[in-house]
Amino acid sequence: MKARYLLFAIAVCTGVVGGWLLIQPVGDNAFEGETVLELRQLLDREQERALALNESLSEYESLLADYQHEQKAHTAAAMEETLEDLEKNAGLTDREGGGLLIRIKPEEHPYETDQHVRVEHLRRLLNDLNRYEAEDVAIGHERITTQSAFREVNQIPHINGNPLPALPLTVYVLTDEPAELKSQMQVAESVQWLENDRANVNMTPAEAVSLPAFSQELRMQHFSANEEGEK
Amino acid sequence: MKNRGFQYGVALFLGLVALIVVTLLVDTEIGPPSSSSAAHVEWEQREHLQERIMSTQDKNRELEAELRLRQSEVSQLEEKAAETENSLQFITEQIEQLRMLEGEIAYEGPGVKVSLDDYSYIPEHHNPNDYIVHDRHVQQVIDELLAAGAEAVAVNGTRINRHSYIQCLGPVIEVDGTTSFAPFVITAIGPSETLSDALQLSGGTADQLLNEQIQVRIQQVAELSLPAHGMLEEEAL
Repeated sequence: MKARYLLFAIAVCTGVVGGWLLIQPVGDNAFEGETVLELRQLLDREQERALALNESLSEYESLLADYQHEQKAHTAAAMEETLEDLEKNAGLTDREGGGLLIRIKPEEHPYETDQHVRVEHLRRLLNDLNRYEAEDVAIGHERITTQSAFREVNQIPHINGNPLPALPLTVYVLTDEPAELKSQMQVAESVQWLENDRANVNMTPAEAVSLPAFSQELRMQHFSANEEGEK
Repeated sequence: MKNRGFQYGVALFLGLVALIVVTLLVDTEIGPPSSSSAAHVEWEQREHLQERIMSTQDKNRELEAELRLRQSEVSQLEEKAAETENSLQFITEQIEQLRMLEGEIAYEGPGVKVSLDDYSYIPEHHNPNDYIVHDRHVQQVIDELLAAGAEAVAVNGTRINRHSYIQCLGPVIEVDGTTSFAPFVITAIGPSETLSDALQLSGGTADQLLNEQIQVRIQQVAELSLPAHGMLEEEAL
């Protein structure tokens, strides 16, 4: 008798557990616990990524068309053009164009002549500029590249290993939308930080902003030869 | 004995009935709430958004695969051109290297892996905010690595380039629109010993981070692969 009840109990339990497992939603659970707002933001990000992917895809497709259809001599020319574009994007050439000038000046201090900004604030400034899609940036004479390091050495800010001069300092920004960037930057946190640190920040859109080329060599010694890009 | 077989059958049947009942019960719980209309609207919104996110993600995966294919076709053509004409050899190499550097394609090589984690023990009456990793900590490690000769850097699998931004949103850090939680793993390709030594100088970055209640782990790695910018990681680091 006891064995029968036991068996019965086991069967019921198996049924309940089995049913529970069957029901567990598998895929949709990934978004569990996220609010509608968070879901919207996630969708926005994915859509932006789609846009970026499509852009690079069409770049590579037109390059492919160039290479395939042109004669040998032209292929060489097309490749040189590719290299020039890449060098331009990497910050290895001088650039000029419409943009924004950001002037950082000391507040009036008769007794302090060599006020420096904290490098942390400059990093934040670049962060904000990038968030608002600035195209290219130079801080003083230092062009920002993928390998630019921001550091403080003996309380003097260094970028690309070079010391920055004391204030005033100008940040040169290339952008297609100078007015929009200006209004976004005016309320940016980084500008508040600079101002809290006794600096005046002035922004003016300009038609011709010129950026110096990165004057050193980019470091590329440690990559493993990697056939066909990546697989 | 026959009786025993019958009992088994009944038990099995009852088990199945229980399964179906549970199925129905849970189903109604998960389905759209029918009574309250506000909850129903929100449920529908969520459903709709989730579907769109998933279909965009699927599309992006396809786009990524296609982009990788085109990239390898382009570099194949470039290499072929270089073979027929020696003068193009140099250009081809430079093109390839700049693409790796700017994060258009993956960058592989030796380097270091630095992981920053929130301090697990928070004393009573202390602000937990003082014990978590912030954007500036991640940024500080990146700058130190770059200054010591790092050639390419990624944070939790997101490649850093000249247009990158890092932002703190509470315990979450956003890098170029991709959010992730602690531990934050910063990977850098370059001279691994120099990079690791630079971080561990006495009074240097690692010490400063420890003083700010952050757990730091530094590892030299013989072969790292940093994904292209905006691409998902192909394999675990």
